[in-house]
Amino acid sequence: MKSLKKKPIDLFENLSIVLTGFSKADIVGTGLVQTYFDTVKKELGKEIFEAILNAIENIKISNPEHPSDKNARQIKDLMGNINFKTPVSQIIQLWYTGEWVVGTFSPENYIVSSESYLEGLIWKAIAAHPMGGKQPGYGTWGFPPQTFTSKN
Amino acid sequence: MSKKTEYDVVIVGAGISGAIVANQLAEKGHSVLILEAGAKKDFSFETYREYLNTYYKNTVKIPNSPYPQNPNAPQPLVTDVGNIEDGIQQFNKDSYFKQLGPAPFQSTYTRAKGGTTLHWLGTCLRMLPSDFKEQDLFGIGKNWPISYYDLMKYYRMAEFEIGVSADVEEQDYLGLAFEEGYVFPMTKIPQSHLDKQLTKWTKNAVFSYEGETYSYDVVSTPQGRNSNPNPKYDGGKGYQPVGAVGNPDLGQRCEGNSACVPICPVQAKYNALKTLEKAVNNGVVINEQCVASQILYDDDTGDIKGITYKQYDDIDALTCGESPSYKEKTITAKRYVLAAHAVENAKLMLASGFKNKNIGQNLMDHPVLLTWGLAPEKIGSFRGPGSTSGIPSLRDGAFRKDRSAFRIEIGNWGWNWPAGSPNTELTDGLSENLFGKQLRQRLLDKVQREFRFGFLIEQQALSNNCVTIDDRYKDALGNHRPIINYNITDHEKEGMLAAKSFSEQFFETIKGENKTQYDSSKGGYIEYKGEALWWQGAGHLAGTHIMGTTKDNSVVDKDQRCHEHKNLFLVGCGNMPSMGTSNPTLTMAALSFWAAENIDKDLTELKN
Ligand SMILES: Cc1cc2nc3c(=O)[nH]c(=O)nc-3n(C[C@H](O)[C@H](O)[C@H](O)COP(=O)(O)OP(=O)(O)OC[C@H]3O[C@@H](n4cnc5c(N)ncnc54)[C@H](O)[C@@H]3O)c2cc1C
Ligand code: SF4
Repeated sequence: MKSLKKKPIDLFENLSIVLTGFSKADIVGTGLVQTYFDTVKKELGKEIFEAILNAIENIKISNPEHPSDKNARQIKDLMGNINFKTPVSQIIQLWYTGEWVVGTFSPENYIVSSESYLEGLIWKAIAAHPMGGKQPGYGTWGFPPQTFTSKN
Repeated sequence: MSKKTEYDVVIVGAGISGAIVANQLAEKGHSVLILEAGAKKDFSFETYREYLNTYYKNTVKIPNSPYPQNPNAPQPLVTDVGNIEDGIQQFNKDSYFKQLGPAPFQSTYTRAKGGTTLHWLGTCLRMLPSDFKEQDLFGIGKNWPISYYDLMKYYRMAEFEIGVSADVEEQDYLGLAFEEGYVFPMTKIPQSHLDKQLTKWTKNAVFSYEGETYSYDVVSTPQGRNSNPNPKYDGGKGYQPVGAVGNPDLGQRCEGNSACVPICPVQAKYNALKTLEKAVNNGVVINEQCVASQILYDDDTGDIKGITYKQYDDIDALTCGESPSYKEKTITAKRYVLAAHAVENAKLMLASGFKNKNIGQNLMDHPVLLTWGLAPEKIGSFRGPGSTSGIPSLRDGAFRKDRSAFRIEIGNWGWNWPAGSPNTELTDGLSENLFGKQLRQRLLDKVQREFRFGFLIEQQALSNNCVTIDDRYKDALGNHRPIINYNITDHEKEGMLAAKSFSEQFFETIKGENKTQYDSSKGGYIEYKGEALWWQGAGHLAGTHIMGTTKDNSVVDKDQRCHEHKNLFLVGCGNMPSMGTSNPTLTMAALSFWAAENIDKDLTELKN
């Protein structure tokens, strides 16, 4: 990854923050940044992975937790780009579900580890907890749900 | 393995029914051996954790996902039922069941020590008194040779063993009677926020259908999961909840893990390992990796002479790799019990050449019509046990002569069952190129309003719905694979129409959005009177060796003893001539206590 000026892992972290809509604390708090960096690199191959990191470096996101309108448009373009659409979706799915998704019900899909399932951000996104883990406690399901708004 | 040559009792199957009989008889001082087909597993919590890790890492989170397929004792999977292509239902090539249709049989069970309660939901409804005599009352199905009132004592024993949480004053509807002063072992499991909102939104509203009106009463469901012990239980003695096997401090109370099916991480939900461990402490021996393959009997007297089983060599516990190497052995005892679950019990008797024509017939399930939609506001889905309440008003009524009754289960896990949420919602968002906070917001707004109904449709016992065998279809050990013939009657489809109408009126009443949409390529899709319907299996396999008054109308008598084989008892849902609209396990557990009592009497007479 010689063409990159920043450290690849830092770029990957920023990319992950922007793509998932979660804070740096949420992303780092999973303890999985390095694992997923390695997973994505292995699965996509060095060339595509580097191209994505390159693109993200060129976008120059100043604040990944609250990307500017311009940055958001640039990411949207990236997702619309035929070369990047699938890998970017795969990275989001990895963070959201802990699963490397090759295709719907593909036998090549796999969950990276028990931990990665439990750290899936999808459960946080829906204000719940992973099914089968991080139990919220007796009777909590009787309480009104928590709230979240993207304006936070 | 024990050196003992003859046991008082040999039981086939270490699920809830076998475990109850074993423990009851051991407590009375009888020697008991259980043959269990599943792979060798100790009672440690670490072993159980392996199941949990398997579940976490499985990309397809179906009920059997924590419990690996074992070629020596294969189990059916919900994914065996494929799509409908050109009007023809497809089945996975490697399915354990050989299905002959015309309708797909979509329910499954688990062949591992502890049995299917490893992944049951734990709903513990008693059957209604009318369910025991539905032929007399409505001209449908079959009567029981015993009544609700005969079973009451055994229901109490089953509620103790499973550890049922419920408030008795909420459960005395539609003729359900409880003894004066009876309370359940534990107080009711708190109802979900969804349950409470639905109660509020449907207050004073009614559902009308074919000139009758019914209330929308949302009632909390009795459940086999730990809550707070009721100090009034057992005349003020109270109740001690049973925690996890191998780690009893864990699981003393439900913690809201929201994974009861397929696996409760802390065992706050009952599973049969709890009863089995007690049984072993009372002296019961379990021989694992022993698949019963034949029951030997005397042609003249019908008496059972022994059970032949195949004991297979160790297999890799996690992957369950194929290991066709085994030893064949025969074991004898004074009394024999089959507790291998409805389909396996029937299969075993058929493979042994039993003559009773009712064996394998009257296969039942609860076809579950699913409907789903969005609540008018966020209700906090994907929290708590799979279901904490239901709507019982359509479980009984004069209408049962014209259409099936049903119980309505309110699901707490969004559209997980009908539509694979939340993962499918993520895929939908990605297909629209959403990312970041927009994606997150969309998931939250949508999923937090999701809920579903499951309508458990009563199915009648009919001879055409049956299990048979054919020497062409065998598994790796050379045991038969079950052949299933199955269909849904117009009576049941009429029930489904009423259910669909209920759902439509319900979503209007609460000002929600009905999002039910049936995919005509999915297994279980049918059209009836111009209406699209879609149903799934409930896992409630029953009726393959029903009880009755004579050998012509049944396999076992009211004591759960085979009419034609006096030293053989059968237990499990196979004995039930009807299920009504209750999930069957509580009733079946009650019958297992009753069976154990009869076997004990029999053995005591024999020994004196
Ligand atoms: C997804 C799902 C959810 C469910 N939820 C509920 C619910 O909420 N409420 C309810 O009432 N019921 C529920 N059920 C049904 C319930 O699980 C069964 O009724 C119950 O487990 C049956 O108990 P059993 O002891 O008869 O059989 P099982 O629990 O299946 O045990 C049978 C045992 O026999 C062994 N065995 C099989 N063949 C052989 C052989 N040839 N030789 C030796 N051993 C053998 C098996 O390995 C197993 O250990 C559910 C089922 C499913 C699938
Ligand atoms: S909600 Fe969780 S803790 Fe409670 S029974 Fe279900 S899986 Fe177990």
